[in-house]
Amino acid sequence: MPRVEFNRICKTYADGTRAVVDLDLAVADREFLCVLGPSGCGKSSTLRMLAGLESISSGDLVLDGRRINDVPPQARDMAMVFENYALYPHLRVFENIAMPLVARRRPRAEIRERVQQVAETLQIVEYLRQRPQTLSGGQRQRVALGRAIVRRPKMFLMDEPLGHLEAYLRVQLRAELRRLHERLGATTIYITHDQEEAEAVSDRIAVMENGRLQQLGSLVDLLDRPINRFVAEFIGRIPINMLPARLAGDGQNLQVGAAMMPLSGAQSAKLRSGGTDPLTLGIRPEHVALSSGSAGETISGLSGRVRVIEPQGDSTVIIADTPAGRVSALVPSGCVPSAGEVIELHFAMDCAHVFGADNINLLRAARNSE
Amino acid sequence: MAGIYFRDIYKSFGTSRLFEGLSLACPDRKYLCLLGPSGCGKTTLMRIVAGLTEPDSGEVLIGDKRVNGLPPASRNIGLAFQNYALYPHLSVAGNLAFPLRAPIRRGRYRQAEIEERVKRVAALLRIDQLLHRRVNQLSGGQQQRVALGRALIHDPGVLLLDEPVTHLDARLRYEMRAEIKLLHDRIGTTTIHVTHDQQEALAMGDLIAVMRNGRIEQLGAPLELYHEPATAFVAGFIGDPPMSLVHARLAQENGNTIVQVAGSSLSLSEALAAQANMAPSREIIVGLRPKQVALVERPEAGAVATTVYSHGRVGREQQLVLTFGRDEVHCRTSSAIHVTTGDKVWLSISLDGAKLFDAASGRALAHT
Amino acid sequence: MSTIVPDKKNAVGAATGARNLAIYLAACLFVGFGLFPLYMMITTSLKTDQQTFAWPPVWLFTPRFQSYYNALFVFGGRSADHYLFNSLVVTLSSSALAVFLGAMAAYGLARFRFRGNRDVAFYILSTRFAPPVGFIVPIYLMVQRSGLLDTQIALIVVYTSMNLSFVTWILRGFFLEIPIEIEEAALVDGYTRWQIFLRVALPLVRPGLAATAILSAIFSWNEFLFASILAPGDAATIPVYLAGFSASMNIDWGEYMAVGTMAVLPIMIFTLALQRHLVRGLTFGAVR
Repeated sequence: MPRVEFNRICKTYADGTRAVVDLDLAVADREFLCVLGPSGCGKSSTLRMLAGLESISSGDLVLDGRRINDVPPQARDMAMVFENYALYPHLRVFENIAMPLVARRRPRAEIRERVQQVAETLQIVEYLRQRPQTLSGGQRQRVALGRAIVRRPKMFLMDEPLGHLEAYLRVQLRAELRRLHERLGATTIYITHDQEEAEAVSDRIAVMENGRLQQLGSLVDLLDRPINRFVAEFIGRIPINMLPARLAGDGQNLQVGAAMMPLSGAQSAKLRSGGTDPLTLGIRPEHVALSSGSAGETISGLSGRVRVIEPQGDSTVIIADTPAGRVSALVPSGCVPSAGEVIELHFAMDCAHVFGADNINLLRAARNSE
Repeated sequence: MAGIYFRDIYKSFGTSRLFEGLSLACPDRKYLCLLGPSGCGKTTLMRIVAGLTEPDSGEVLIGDKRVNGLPPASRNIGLAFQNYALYPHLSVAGNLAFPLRAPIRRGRYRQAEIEERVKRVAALLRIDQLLHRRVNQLSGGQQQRVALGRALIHDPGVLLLDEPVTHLDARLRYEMRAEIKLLHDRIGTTTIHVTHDQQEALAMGDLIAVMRNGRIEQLGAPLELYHEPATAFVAGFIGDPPMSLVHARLAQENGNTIVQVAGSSLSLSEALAAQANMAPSREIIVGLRPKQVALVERPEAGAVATTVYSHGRVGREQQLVLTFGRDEVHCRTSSAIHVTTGDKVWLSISLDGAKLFDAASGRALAHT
Repeated sequence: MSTIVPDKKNAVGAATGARNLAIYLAACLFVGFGLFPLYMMITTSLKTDQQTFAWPPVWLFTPRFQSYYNALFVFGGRSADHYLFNSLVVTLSSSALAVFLGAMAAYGLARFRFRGNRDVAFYILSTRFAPPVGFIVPIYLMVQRSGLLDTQIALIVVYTSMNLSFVTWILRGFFLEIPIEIEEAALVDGYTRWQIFLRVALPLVRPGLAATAILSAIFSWNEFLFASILAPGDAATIPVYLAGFSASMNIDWGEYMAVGTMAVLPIMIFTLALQRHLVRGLTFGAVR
């Protein structure tokens, strides 16, 4: 049985803004679910409705089989971690972590023991006597986490908890979060706009946009079988290339600029049945290969001029301008062309996505059935 | 156009000393990234070029001109602040024209010329549709372009960018990175770019200076830093994930130099053994990239036992953080294995291509 | 999930509706209580004496403007418009001076680090610690020796100095809220401190300027004690003139209230005119 169910949940604000529209989502027990989306997509409203900080306009919110729409926040037994830490500046770290237990009038010995335990888990024992303002951002967020876990709530709700931290600290704390989740085994809902964060910590990712759930699945699902153009563009460390395309007269090739990209039988069948004409080819940079020099020899290649070279370490991103648009390619650092060079770009068409005029991925069903 | 040179800079804030004899050169037309964690002094160094902070001693040169003591306005620089710092009471056009209307340039630009320049810069940065908007009606990416335009509009000799893309969403950050680099290719202005994001520095810099506690740890081209880190700090900062740093001990076995770590022994290649023999002490740090470690099913020769500390995904791969001795090792695998925190796994480590550092100083052991 | 209890949202809605109504009624009562004296003043100024003293009170009557005519044109000697004009001159001049000088002082205190910065700031506030009555004698003597008794200048100088301290304190807070990077950007762009003050800082603290201008003007407009002692005659302001009514043997209530109404109007208009500048968050979105 799922722990939490959103059944056709809507949130409409007084000014008529529809923040969340018909949300159906089930979160399994002990699951770590990320809600991912750009700012204003409705992910914060979703979390706040779950926490009880925001009223629900319509639909049912179900926790452990019980409808909790009208249950006040303090009775829902969930702990929330905020982006800005929300620590009490006038209290020491120990008192900050102890706060939820003090509020529930637990015996003093128990409080001391549980705070100590939490501090050890989070490696903040040596800061217990300090005040939050003397701590670094990473340490503060550990304290905020400590305050959330000391209660042993049913669920954790995390609202961009790493948003304020510098890149390298974020990477460290992601590992800590995942570790914590596995040790505590509590159901966690985590919202973020950063897909690297989502992929690093979560079991499943729910992508939201314009108040609607777009797609729910594992990262690999989202990468390889995006349901629409929005998901394809939002997911992926290096943004996916999107190029205008059209189905060639014979129906066996996709024409991008002057180049013909051969389609598999299943692909071409899918496009011929569902294809409305302005098509967009989506191809991830890791599925683009290069060959240098003489343009026009192979028909499947798109020729382009190298504009930007971005080393990443073992691999390098090449950004080239082609007649069809700007294309990024991820290549091993050993074989990098120089800026200004004319190169041939080859697409691994079996990994391609084609979006119709309504932005739906026309090839998704085809690849699913393979 | 001019290079930027720091010579023997000292700077203290109250009782805490930041720079103690820092020297650094950014040659003409280069794009230099100052990279480091917060508090390393990278922003202060940039402010010293701008004249917003004065060093206690030492020289700052822009081209061959000593600029110490000159007010910021006389240094002919363009500066884009991390938080954009646009003038909220002015329109986009007003913000862009602001430097041209400054008293220090009085009489240099006629009204028609100001308008002409505003249009040209706006077109370059693709904000020409927004000229009459108020800046607080713009999105983050648009504000960032305005800030960049304002820094560029008076053809500065030097461009200073403080975390110019940090606040943008991932996709926009990627696009703006390429835009800024293309812009630099076109106008060639010597640029200093301050960032804490190693990925950004690798992607954008002609040169990267890695800073820590007010010192330059290493100055070099991006891949030079990646492949040949001069210190353990640089190794542990650059790369995604960075090198795993493992504390180890050198020992002799049958006349060969070997590495002992957490009860296991690893043999060294000839080249690495030669480096190890130059180590000032037996305590060393081994730097490992993820490709040098691999999960193995069962204890085989050369495999070591580790515990899963945490795990997550990176794209299609799984990334494990493993506890090895008193350190953590990052490992990547594309095979779908199921592990949880606390599991025991076996790791085969190949020291070919590993980097060795002296544990006390953190410096890389010299090549022979 | 068939066990879900159906929604009872109407019950919840009705309860909050009744509560809202109660709060609304209480608020109306409170506002009525506050506005009643004002209502009495304005209606009395439009009534005849008979209507004014009638019991039960006359609620419906034909307004007449005789009292206003009397106050402005018929009275022997100075009429009310003379004193209104005095008040206007004193109020506008002293408020403008206080806000301008105060803004400069506040900017200096907010932006420059010099020895004793905080001591100076504290000293400026401390000038308001003692009740003004305590130093009325020395001020009287100073004004008398400089030959400024019963002049507008005396009141302008005294009011400016009294308003300056709180104007400085309030504006210092506003200047401190401007992100320093905005001014550093202007510095790099080639502007001098003075121009940054005029062209960047002042526009950004507009709400603060409006707030302090309103507070100074209200103080200067209503101040009675110093006005009655330093300028009791030709240069008297409207509060002093008004006080004269209650001192006379048989009070002309209609005229008294007519002058009172005219005394309220200018400051109300001034406040309403500046109110739209009071919007906060002008700097919002400037930096992240």
